[in-house]
Amino acid sequence: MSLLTLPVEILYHIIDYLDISTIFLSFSNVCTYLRIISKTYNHYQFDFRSISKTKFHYICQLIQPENILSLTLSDENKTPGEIRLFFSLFNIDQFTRLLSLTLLEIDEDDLNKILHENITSTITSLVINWRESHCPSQTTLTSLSSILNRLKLRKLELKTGSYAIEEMLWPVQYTLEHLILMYVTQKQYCTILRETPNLKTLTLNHCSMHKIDEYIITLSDPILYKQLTSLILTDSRMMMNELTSVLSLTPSLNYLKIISLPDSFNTISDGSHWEQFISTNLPLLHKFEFFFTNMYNVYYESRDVQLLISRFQTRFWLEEKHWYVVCDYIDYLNQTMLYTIPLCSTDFTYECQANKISYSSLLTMETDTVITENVRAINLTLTKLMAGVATMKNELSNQYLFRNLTRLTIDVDQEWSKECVEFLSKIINLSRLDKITFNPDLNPNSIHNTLNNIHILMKLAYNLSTLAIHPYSSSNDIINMEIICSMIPHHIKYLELTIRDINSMKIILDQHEQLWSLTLLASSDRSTPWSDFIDELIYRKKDFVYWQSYYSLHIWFGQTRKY
Amino acid sequence: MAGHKIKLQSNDGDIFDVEVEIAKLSITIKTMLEDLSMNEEEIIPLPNINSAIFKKVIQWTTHHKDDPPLPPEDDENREKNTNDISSWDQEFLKVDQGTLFELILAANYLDIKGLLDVTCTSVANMIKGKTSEEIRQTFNIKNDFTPQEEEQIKKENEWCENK
Repeated sequence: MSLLTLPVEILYHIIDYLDISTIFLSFSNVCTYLRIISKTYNHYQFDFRSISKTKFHYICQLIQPENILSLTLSDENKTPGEIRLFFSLFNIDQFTRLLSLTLLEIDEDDLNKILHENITSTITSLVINWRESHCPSQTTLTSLSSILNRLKLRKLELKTGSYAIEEMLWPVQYTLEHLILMYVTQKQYCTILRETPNLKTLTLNHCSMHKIDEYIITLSDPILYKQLTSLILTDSRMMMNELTSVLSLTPSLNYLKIISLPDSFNTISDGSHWEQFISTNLPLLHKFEFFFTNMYNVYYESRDVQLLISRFQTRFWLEEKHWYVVCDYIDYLNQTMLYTIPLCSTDFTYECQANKISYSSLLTMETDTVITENVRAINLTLTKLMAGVATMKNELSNQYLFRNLTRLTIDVDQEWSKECVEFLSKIINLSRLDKITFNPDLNPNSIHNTLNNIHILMKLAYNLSTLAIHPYSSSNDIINMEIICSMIPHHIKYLELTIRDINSMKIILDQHEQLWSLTLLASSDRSTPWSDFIDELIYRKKDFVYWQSYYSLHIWFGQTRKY
Repeated sequence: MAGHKIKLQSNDGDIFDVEVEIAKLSITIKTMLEDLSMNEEEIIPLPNINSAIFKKVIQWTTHHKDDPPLPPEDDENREKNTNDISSWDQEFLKVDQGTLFELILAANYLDIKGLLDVTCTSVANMIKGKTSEEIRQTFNIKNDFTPQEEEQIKKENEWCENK
């Protein structure tokens, strides 16, 4: 029994789990049989979010559009300019069996061109994420509305800035089951629920409906939308009465998640209010997850935190629903976080025990690793954190506190001590990290130590592919690019950097030829001549595509031409 | 009824008493019992599976009997999910390649989607990140490209190297 004697359908099933680079650059070059298998496989799901431009070109030569079911293209920082490049090689109507189309950070003009082509009617999943959350124009919204009317979508995600989507005529969509939107007003919320009679899951990001209107509260006899079973509200600013008026329209919810920075923390953090509301209005609610952060300074003592938690220690919360809650009060920030466990927010600001007052509704506290198992990104204010850590050195568990973390942001305005790196390596499984963002202090007095310890951190994070460096200079205005470059390991493929001048750019190009993409951000106090840098790339015979804004330049590199 | 058992016979003659609820994780067996109205007293033959592999299948299905049902397989649900394998499954799949492939065939024949997915994921993980030559070595596959084809592949790979 060997790999080659497995039935074809099994080999196809194995390909289902391979990424496109492996399929086209390795698997299909093993032998003639596997080459035929990869050519006849017709369930390709092309995800071009993290690929070098050279491999992208190579794979595009081999694409048979009719064999592709799913296509993800992205102009995000790893592959800027990819969408325009792809559609210079293909037309969307060549993908005759396409079921899913995802366009990330797309430029408005590029989107318009695609929308005016004959998008195949087979598409059932459409994701459009506008570049830098720009507001779509009326023309785009009209085209989009017409396409939504024509397609039989099951999933739709539109990520745009502001409330522009309000202007779109929302067609009746009987097939739509899953919807993700941003910036929705209460009126539009009702319209969408009315026009999507089979909608099951709805996610609303940047959901602050009260900023625009108070539509629902004015309705004398609001219609209930019983089709919806799952609702996620993120970055919500709604107050408790606004939330309850919105939630009471959907009595069949069995899943509810709210990530909120409410204007009024006291009412939204009151467990007895929620208990009463859910018992009366959401009888089917099976899972309720939330993460509430107070926006304004509050001053809590230990007994205040205990009192807050006690309202989540009733029979309803603990025995009937099994929903458990933690409250953290961070003293030096005067900030309170109230959340269900495990943490439902994938993005989290970590604070050590010594710097916070923390109580749980559980009599026996879950281990921290259970609480943080869903966390993928954390922000650490390392300067403050290390002061707290010094007092609790022996209390750190042997297990990683964040074992599934992929993105780490470190804020530190002092020397990186050996203890900083030791601490990070104790709480985080550094080998799983894909991206680190940090702001190194380039103070000449401490730079030697800082550099040494950053080098140690980079060695431990050996699977890191993206590095974002935004230098903090405490001594003067000069950013030494040689020093910055020495912090960047040669396995980094994607680099994001704040720079001040064209010379900095040249040094990066000289020292880091391995980069697949480069994102340059202008220092806030300077205007940066991006065109000079583009000229430099042309002069160096670089193969590249890019897009730029006033304050940023995003480049996707291919190979340097030999002549 | 929980605890009720049926008899299943491997192709080398061994008979296994298996709880009905566990056996029904196999759509093939479930269909035999429900659609073909097979008597639960009858011995159900499994001509494509030997007893060593069937023991492994029972071990897997017993561990996963309370898993939530997987979504129906259709083109829209063929999302490329994580290649993560649970630690129990990782330990379960520490077998030689021959056994792994036989488990795949058994999962396919018995129509046990969860087992088929995890075994195929395991093979995919053995392929991921490897060069063509490393894949050949891992699975003992002969390179049968002509020298011209080989030259072409080499050229293309050089082109993509490090980029």
